[in-house]
Amino acid sequence: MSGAVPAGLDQAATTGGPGPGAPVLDDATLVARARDGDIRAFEQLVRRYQRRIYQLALRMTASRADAEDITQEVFVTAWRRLPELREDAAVVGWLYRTATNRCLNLLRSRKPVAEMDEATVAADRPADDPQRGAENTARREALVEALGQLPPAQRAVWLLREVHGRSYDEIAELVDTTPDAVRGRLARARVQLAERMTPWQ
Amino acid sequence: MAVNELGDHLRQGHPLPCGRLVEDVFDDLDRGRIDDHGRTCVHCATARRSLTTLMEATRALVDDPAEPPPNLLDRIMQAVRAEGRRGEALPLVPIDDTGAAVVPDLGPVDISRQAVAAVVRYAADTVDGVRARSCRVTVDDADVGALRIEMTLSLRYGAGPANELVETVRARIGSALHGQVGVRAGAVDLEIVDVWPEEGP
Repeated sequence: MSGAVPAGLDQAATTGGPGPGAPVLDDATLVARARDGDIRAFEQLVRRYQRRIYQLALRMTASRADAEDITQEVFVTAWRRLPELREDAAVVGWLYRTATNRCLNLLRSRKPVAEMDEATVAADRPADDPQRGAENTARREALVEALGQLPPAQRAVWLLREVHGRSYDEIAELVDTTPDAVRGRLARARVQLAERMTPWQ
Repeated sequence: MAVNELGDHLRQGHPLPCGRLVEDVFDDLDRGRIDDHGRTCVHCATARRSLTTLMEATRALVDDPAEPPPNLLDRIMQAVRAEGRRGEALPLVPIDDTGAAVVPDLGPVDISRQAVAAVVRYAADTVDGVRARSCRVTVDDADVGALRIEMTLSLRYGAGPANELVETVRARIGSALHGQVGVRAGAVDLEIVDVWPEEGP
């Protein structure tokens, strides 16, 4: 913007994004606006989905630092590639796909020796009910540890379905296989996780 | 099952010491059914307990308290801004109160396409039942000194006759451009691309 800005423009430009009390806009609207270069609309998308993407990346990589980097890369790539996104409402699926691919690539490039990140996992806030909170924390930690021992592709399938509630079709497309193969992988993942959490033999 | 002799790889299952596949035990549990063997077999009971434990842990992971660090949003948005894709400048011909073109003392005024688009979107959003989606702002070749607006809209179902809403949007865009940017609206092309359902009570 040049120095000679007509009165009122600045104010309107900064209120272009919804402030407090403004309506919550749907994904398609935000994507259409972001594609036109509306940074505020894009920021709303980031606010809406950064937590989910971060949590997926955290549980995939077991590293906070990697999860942060991946989340940032996913959204910056999304901004760059918005013009290519055909279906505006499909942005969530696109974010999940990019995040999953990044996680899998990162895990492939890691040394085979499984080194757990020191600053990883847990440090969970206790819930309102301390007893129940502690139980949940213990369960979650055991599960996270068991997850770390699954092959990355299986871990991805399990997380996307059981924690993020993505559909079989979407997951199949995402990991380049069939919905039936996804069901199979999911069943195997469940068995292995259950076994690791409570050995039955 | 006789099939077991052919090897477990065919069934792709995990046999318990009693011969049952863990997968089948889980399947029965999912469907809430149990047979005589299942009722009395300690191995099957252990497998069921394991799955129950896994399901509880899964719920705890769905309520994952791991939050992205508070500064991640800023990091992402800084990186996004650094990407550029800023709107280019529009050469504008300012008008006075009577609508006549004025030659500014300091020469032509350039303002960002982005900033004008924000004003125009905001004007459309002020109409109840209307959300602006994409918005393209260009210099109107057929109408010297005016801006051409091409915008897509989403309407709330039941907000009123579409053509009336569209005309209200057109009028608001015209007065916003005049009042806040100091420039005349030329052709304003509005296209309805979506309808969103009426919000619940």
